[in-house]
Amino acid sequence: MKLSLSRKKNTFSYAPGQEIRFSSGSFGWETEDESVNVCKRRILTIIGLFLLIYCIIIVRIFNVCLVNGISFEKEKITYYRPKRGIIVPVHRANITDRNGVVVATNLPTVNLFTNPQKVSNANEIAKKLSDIFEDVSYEDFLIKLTRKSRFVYLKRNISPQQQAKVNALGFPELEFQPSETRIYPQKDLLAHVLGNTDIDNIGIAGLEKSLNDRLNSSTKDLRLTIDLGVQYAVRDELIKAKEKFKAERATAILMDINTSEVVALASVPDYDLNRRDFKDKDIKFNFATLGVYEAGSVFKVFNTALGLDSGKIKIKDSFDATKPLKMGRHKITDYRVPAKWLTVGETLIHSSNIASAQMALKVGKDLQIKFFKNLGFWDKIQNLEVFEKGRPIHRSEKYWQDHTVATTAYGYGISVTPMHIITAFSAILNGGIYTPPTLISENSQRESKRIISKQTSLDMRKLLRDVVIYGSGKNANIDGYEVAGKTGTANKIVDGRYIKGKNVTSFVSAFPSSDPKYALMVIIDDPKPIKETFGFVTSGWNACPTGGNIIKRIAPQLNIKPNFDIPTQRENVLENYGIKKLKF
Amino acid sequence: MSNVKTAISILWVMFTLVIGSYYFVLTNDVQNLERELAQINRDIENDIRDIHILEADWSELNNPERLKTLAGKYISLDFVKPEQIINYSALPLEGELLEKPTMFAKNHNKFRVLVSSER
Repeated sequence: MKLSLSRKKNTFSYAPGQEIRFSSGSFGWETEDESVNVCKRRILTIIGLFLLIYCIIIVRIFNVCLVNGISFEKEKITYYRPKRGIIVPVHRANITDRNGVVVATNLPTVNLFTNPQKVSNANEIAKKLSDIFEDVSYEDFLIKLTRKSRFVYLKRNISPQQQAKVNALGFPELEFQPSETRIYPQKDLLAHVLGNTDIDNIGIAGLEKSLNDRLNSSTKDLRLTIDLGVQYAVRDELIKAKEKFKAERATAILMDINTSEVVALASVPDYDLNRRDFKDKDIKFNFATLGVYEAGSVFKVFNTALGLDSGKIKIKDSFDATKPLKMGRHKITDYRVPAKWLTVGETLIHSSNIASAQMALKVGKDLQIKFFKNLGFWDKIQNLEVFEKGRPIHRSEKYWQDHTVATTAYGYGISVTPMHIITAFSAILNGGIYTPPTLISENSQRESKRIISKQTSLDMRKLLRDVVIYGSGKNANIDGYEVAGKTGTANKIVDGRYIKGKNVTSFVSAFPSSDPKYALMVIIDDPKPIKETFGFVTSGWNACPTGGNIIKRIAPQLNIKPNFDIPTQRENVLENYGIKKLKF
Repeated sequence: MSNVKTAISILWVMFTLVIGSYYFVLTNDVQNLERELAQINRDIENDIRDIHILEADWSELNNPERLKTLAGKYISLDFVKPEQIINYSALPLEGELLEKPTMFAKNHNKFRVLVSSER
């Protein structure tokens, strides 16, 4: 801008800012050089200041917009981000059943905490908190609020409603911390399989304990072999059986006979996994994998398979069961078995201890021990993922004498868990291949091995089918499903002594016997005689019908087609339509 | 010559202003998009968390005990019996059912035939 002032007097040509005065002698405008200079300096100063401000603004705009950008404070995200970029809202992996139904998961919650050093009105806060949290007393809150520490949890894993109520109290001392809690949507359905976690989400029982690292290190769902619908049916029938026979406990395992995948595993009584305050250890006892017991006559399956496979026993051989078998000071006797010579098949059908002992003695100690080792009876069950696994009880090889050989033939003198038995039983009937059991779907960490020949396995199917048709397993003979199995009743040992009148009954079975798909084991601990069983407490009257009920209920669920011939099927259909007789 | 220089200078100034303005607008747009992306990511995380909670809820609602109770209460369903699973060839002939039309009409809702895939 050109700042030129007119030198001419009495003209009206003035630059902006020029001082204008009236002259003293005449009416008109007057400018002065000194005034103009002052004015110029002022104008320049102001322009300079404005330029400086504009420069600062421009520099700042460039700095903010182009160089650093605006620094928005990013929200702190507590979610775990695995490498693949999948966002998961929790840190511990879900557990699902074989169909993907969630059976254990973590939910985001909050913990209520405070710094007691900053709490000034502990009494008032304690009172109001105890009104919100009914399960915590005023005294408990007061103790926490008056501690000398700088951090204390007042209540962990509170619900959103409770959080809102605490917020509404308006105490700035009360703070919240994001957290997670483990929940089990199916409550008690898989109690003994899953186990549970403590308040810090660390596994303390079952799969939660044994696979704690896996569940914490990967967020990929852990898929089980358990089928929830089948599990429910099995557990439901067990509960009914336990009530009906007034038993102390009832346990069942359903296993895929070819893969040894556990499809259902239940032991009642059990408990709701979402409650962590159980004091009674008994209900947490997983009898299926931890309960070591003498299985009784169920062992005759293994004894017979060993005899046939060794070649020392032929299927048509007979054994003298006309009189008790003397073993030193002891006598081996039978219970309600016809006193006659029994074939191998009849030995199983009538469940003869005497004949079984003779078979075992003929096979001998070495082969028997080797066979039991092959079946996994010498150690804890291999590979199974649950933490609770029982160690078998048996004599050492050194003290495995003839009477041990004889008694183990019918299930005394060796104690194993139900999981040992059903895994071995599966191997006997599936063609002779032993595969360690698993609860984890697509578990490739197992190695299978042959333990008996395929022919022996086929023979065993026929023999055990006969047990269900003609022998003690009649109550499990479900039409269409060709159940093959063996019952077992053993005296119960309490505090190291056999208790008269107390039994553990077992029924181990497979279906359909022509091409077995599943193996089922049912154990009832101390069933009582009832009117319906005519006072009997043997397996055929309690464990066996329970097994039958389970098979009848789960076989359609497992997509096993009943083996009815066509006329029978048509009769079944028409009978359901109310038409009784037909001619084909 | 001085006019040419002035013109070039003005051209450069104009060019700088245009580039600067474009850069400013572009950066501003990117920042807006980043903010939008951050919001979308937060929404996704919230949705995933909600879905996670709903899955647990769904599992609880599908508890077999609950389903059994509801099925018994509202639709009179019961367990499938082995006798209900049959082959196609075992289905009754039309005439057989027509012989007893009243019986069929009376009972057909009570009994659902599950036909196996194998003929």
